[in-house]
Amino acid sequence: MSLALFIILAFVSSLAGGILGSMLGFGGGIVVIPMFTLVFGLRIQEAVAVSIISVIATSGGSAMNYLRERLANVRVALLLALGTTSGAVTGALLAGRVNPQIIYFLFGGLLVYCSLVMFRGRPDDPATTFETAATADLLQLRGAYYDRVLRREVRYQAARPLLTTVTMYFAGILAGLLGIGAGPLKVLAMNQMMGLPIKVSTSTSTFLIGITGVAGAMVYISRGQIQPVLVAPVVLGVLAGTLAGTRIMPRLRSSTVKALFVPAILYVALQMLWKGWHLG
Amino acid sequence: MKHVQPPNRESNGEEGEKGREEHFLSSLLESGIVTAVLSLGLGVLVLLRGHDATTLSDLNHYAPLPLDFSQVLAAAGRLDPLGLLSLGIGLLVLTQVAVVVAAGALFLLGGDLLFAIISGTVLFFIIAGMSLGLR
Repeated sequence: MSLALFIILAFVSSLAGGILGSMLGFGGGIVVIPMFTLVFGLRIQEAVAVSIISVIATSGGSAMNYLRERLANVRVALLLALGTTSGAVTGALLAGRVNPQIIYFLFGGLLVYCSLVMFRGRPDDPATTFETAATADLLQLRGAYYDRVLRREVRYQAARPLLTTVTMYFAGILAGLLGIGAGPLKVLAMNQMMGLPIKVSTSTSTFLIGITGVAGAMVYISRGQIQPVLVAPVVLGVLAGTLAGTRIMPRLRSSTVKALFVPAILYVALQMLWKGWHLG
Repeated sequence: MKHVQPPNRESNGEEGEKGREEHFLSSLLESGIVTAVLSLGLGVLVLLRGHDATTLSDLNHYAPLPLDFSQVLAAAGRLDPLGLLSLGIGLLVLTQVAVVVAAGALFLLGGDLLFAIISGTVLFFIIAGMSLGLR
């Protein structure tokens, strides 16, 4: 394969990853890793190194627009980052002591369960009154955004902030152990536990995955595992994709975002179970 | 648990303050990403122009991204494609760190000590994660 053809193919596939990732709060690795391993024949370690930079690109490109649209909530993201980053450190400490096969099965099973809960749940209907905790009041975990579909401002307030932060700690452990972004878990926790609208959950997740992805990326860079030639077209493609994705998502109905999200997390869940099976 | 009404942004101007924070962080991200894209785009163009015959298998011979940014900056100054690409990737990563630092500084300036501490702790864990990974 010539360099020019590689750059074009990597750019186009990453474009798709960027669109999907920015709309659903994932890192883009969902498209990038299979593309690099199955089509370009790279080893999984090389593909993961490329993917971790694509996570940061997806996050930066998406958050840039979602912050301006006021869809991403900085306070919620930083509070949950406290859980994910401390969890990632714990995960790094535990690495080598825990059987990754068990973790893959647990994570895959958990995602299957969560996707079923979300599938059977009520359609996302932003409320006008909230059930909230005193902690959420203290931390001012609330916000408002203009919903282009509903043509009105939607106000929201987060519930169960401490419980969600603890859950994010465990998501961070998984991320540290398995080298994944755990984006689907972050979206699910924000939507199902905090009661945030799905659009706020996915856009805040894109902001959050960049913060948690930085530590991992710096490790790969320091170890000299990032190949600039492989990464560059992916970053450019992902960023172009996020430009499109962040313009499409606010125009979608919340039910459509959920309809796209459920099969996507099922796909990630199956990937996890498949990896766990093959580790055995 | 108790029921409360949604926040009233007109009554206290608090939402407007948050809006300014979000706008600043968004602009910071935008400037970092635009610079990274320029560097990466230029790097890819220089690479394609100078390495037409390169095959994908040859890419393994390229040096991986070095952490020595002085080398990267020197290479970027010579329009060396690897230097430009490395600079772009480095800028992308550092922009995210800058966002956490800027968010913490904004909270501190706004008198929100609790969230300034939270931002600082997040930064601490990022650095701790890096240190553990490097061991």
